[in-house]
Amino acid sequence: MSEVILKNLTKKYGTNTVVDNINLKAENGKLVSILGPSGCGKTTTLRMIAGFEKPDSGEIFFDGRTVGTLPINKRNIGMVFQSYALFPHMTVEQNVSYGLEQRKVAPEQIKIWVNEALSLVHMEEYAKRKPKQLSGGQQQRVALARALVINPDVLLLDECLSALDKKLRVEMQVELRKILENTGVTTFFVTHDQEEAMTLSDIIVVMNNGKIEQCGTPFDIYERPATRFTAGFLGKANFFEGKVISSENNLVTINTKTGNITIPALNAKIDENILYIVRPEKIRFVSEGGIKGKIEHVTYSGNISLCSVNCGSQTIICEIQNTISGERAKKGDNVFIDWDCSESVKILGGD
Amino acid sequence: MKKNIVAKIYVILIMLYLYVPIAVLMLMGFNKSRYNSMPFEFSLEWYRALISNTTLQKAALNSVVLAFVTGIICVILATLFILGERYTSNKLKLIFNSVSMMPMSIPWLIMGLSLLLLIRFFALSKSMFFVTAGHVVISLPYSLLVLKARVNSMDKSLEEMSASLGANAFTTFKRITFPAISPAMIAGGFLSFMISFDNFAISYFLMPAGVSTLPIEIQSSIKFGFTPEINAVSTIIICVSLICLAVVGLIMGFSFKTIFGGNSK
Amino acid sequence: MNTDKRQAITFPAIITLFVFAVFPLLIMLFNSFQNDDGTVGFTISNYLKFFSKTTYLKLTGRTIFNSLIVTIISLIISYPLAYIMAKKLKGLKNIVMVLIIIPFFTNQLVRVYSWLIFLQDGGILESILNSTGILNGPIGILYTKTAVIIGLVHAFFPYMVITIYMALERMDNSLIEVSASLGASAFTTFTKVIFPISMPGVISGIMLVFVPCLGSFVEPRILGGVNGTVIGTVIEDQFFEIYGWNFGAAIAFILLAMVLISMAAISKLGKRYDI
Repeated sequence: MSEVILKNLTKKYGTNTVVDNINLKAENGKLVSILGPSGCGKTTTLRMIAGFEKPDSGEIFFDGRTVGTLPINKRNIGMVFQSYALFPHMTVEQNVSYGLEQRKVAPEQIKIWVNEALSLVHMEEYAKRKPKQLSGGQQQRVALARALVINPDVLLLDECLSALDKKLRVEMQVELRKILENTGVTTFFVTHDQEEAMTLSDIIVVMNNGKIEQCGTPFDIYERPATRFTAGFLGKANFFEGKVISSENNLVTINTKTGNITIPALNAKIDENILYIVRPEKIRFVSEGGIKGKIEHVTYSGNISLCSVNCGSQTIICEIQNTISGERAKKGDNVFIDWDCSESVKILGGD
Repeated sequence: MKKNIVAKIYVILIMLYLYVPIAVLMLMGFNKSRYNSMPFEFSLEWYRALISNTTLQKAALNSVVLAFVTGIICVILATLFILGERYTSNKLKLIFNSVSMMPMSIPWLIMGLSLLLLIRFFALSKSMFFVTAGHVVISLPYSLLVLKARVNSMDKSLEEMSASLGANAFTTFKRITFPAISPAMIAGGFLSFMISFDNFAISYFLMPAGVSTLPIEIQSSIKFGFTPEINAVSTIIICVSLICLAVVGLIMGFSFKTIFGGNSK
Repeated sequence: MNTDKRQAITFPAIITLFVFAVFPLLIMLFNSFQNDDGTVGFTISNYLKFFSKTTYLKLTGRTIFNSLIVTIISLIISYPLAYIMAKKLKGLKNIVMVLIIIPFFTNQLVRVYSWLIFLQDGGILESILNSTGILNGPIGILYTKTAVIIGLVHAFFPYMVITIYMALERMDNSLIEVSASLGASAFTTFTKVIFPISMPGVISGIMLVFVPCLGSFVEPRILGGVNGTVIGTVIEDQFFEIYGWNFGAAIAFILLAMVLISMAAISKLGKRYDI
């Protein structure tokens, strides 16, 4: 359990900079998700924390001590891979004991701790099985027990839920959260699944092209995206980008590439280049006022419907709750849409 | 980095062990000395001698023809076997498999001598028929392994699809199965060809008097005093083998892993 | 489905194998119970002869011992090579793989012959060793057991390289990383994780080296001369020099039994490491 700090961390493969000067602080006991598309440098970052990769520059601190020179086997980290990487020739028990044996723990103590770890992940009954006799979810739990039993300073999870099927994955997310809260270990969790990151994390770090796009609580990241990339990567978003031509009464007119549009937003400076981000679920249909448009397309998905509304210069995506049965919107309808001006997230200078 | 250099040196040493004797043999084919001894003096004498050596030429021709016939028979038998085996019961499959792989684990010495005893038992005389039969039996497992790997990885629903579209069994074979397995047939046939071409034991025990193959000629020249003509002929064999290997390898993109991977004894 | 007509197309291969492989072995078995002196009738005298003479028992021991030595040397040189190929060489490993495979496609006799030339007195190895001062005088290595072992290792170790390489190549690299992350040293990771997981490859390698070695007769005869006598050469002599065919058949069956027993033993060993 420790505080982890990454300072000016950079990693290059040849001329390709995979991780570009990132700075990050994970407080003691927090679960930090590193989220991003494949190739964004998230796994490399994790592997540098683990010690599998040497950073080209920058430093990593566990509780204020630099671990740069420490070999992997002296770092005291717990690691869970996407493939689980259970030793196929050992039983569940032997797998979990392995790390303790390396630490020269007395055999009686190993037994006690292994049992504790296995009961933490509800796998006591399977202690004598070989990995191939377990299901994916069960292997996952064993891998987690193996990583936790050594009481690591940091726990590193590399896409560890993505090999499970959807239903099991959601179950494991909840359980993982519970287990990690119980143990209180500082955890880094690499994933490309935004929903998973949202559910699990205290802090989300969004990475793209080797750089950190934004770092914050799931709420911050979703409600107050700092960049166009973050907004687009996490959930759906409407973008309004261009130069401000007029701004009064919290109605801002922007000259976008496709024409002028007036949207509800807090007043802005005239002539400023600006990007507004509006989440589709913040948008509502009104009987009059707001922006006039025509519904081009409706996708019904049970609890919600997603409507594409053509508002002249731009198509706006709106998500409406199907709170009453019966069709609330259909293709070809002329509608007025509106939202609260504070829901327009402003990013200066565009992208 | 230092470790990597040690590793590379190790690899080079092993490669030297594998190839130096063969390289020396090739080199000595160009040495004037009759006894492969030093000092080295360049000469094409032994290659010239080869041109007028009809015994060796005949032996070479025998080897090629025998290996070719063996290869063809093996491919036909192996293809039929592999395709038919899919429809046999599991119990029968087990028996068939152990019988078909048996010649791979029994020493060829024993295989050859048992055939010799068969000939004697029925008071027959040695003939090319038995030589070929012996070659087929020992080469067949190799064709089988390659074909099996291919057929097992083939999507069975392709054939079912073809049948559901109205094709009869023959058409399905011609249009679907054959194109899918023909690379493996060539690869398997080539492998059986090479096994037969290299084989000494079976030929040596069963060959009728007066007929010989290259391995038999090499053996007898080792026994009765060798000349560098054998080096020259060996060099030619190696080069031709490698060219064949390269050609088959290039055409097939053929993975040798199937041979060793499929062999789960 | 239980008597599918389509299975009839397996018959040509099955019949060929029965007529030219299984049946001859049965005849050989029959012969091994016949006397070589012309008397007709069932006898176990051939087997008694083999097991009562110390020469033959010693010979059996030597054959097994030789095969063991060849297997051990092959393992010692193959494992590091396979490991280097699987884990260290990146682009080069395919080239090395091809180089390992190529000798399979060079003639067995050509290879044996090449060792004969290389090792002979007055040959290249001798002049190299003499000129570098390592040796002074004739090398005297040909027609010794050493020469036989050099030749047999050369013939069979590539099989071992391939089986071990494939076991290592299949292995998930994250197993090594996990082991390190759990605090194991490189040495412990090797002994506790890498080596046990590669065991199936090692076992099949042992099978592919040890078993053919038992039945070898070309390498021992040519490279070992009178010092190369093994069961294989004795069987050959029985058939072609002494004309004790029935006794030869008996020895051949004893060799076959050795082959089958060792195959069973090795695969039983393999089961223990089954993953």
